[in-house]
Amino acid sequence: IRWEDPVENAETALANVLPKEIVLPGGIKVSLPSALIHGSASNDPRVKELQEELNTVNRKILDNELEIPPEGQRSPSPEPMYDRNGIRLNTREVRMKERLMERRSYLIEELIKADPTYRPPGDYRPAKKNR
Amino acid sequence: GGGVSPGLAAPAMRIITMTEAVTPEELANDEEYADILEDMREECGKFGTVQQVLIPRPAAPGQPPPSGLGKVVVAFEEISAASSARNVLNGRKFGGRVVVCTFLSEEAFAAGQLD
Repeated sequence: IRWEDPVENAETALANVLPKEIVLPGGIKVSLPSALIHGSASNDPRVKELQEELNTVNRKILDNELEIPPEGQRSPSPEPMYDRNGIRLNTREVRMKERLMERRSYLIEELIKADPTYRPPGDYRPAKKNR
Repeated sequence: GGGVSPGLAAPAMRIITMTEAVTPEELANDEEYADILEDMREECGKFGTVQQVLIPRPAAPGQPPPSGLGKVVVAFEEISAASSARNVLNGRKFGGRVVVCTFLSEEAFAAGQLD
C-alpha cells in the first residue's frame, strides 16, 4: 500500500477520542492518567511548561543534540577519568549527556509534585540523593 | 464550452483527478502499474462506489504522450463520494509524494480531455 496514513497518527487519534475527564454516575469526576491522554490533563501553566521542557530534553537526548559550546567558550574540563581499560569516562559528550539526563530527572520529579495525574515514564528511577 | 478549469473552488463533481501521485516511470512498469491501480481502487472504494479508475500510461517512444499522463482519474457513482474522497485524499501522501486532488467535469471526462 502506497497510501500514507492520514496526518493524525494513532496516538493523537486516541487522545482525541478519550475525554480528559469522565464523570461517574453520582457526579464523581475522574481525570484519566496523563499517559493515556497524551500529555497532562492539568491546565496549570507550570505543568505545561515542565511538560514542554521535558519533551525538548527528551528529544535532545534521543537525537544526541548535545549543545557543545564552540571552542573558546567552553569551561575548563575536569581532570580526565579513565576506566580500568584506559577508556576515558568523562568526555565532553558524556558529561553533556549526563547533564541532560539530570535535567530530565529533575523535570520528571517536578511534574510528579505539580501534577497528581502525571505518570513518570517507565524508565524513570528516582534520583538517589547525594548525602 | 465553459472554459472554467476545475479547480479547488469548483463545485463538487462525480469525477476526481489526482496529480503528483504517480510518475511516468512507475507507470511504465506493468507490475507497479497494476499495484497502483489496485491501491487507488481500494482507497477510493472507501468513499463510495467507484465506476472507473483511469491512469494514462506513457506512450511508446516516438509517440505523443497521452492526455492526462501523470494523473489518476477516478469516476464515482455519487457526487458525495467524490467530494469526500477529494477532501480526504488531497494533501495525503501516496508513494511519498503529496497528492493534489481536484474535480474533473463530465464533459472533459467524456471527451477524454484529462489535462
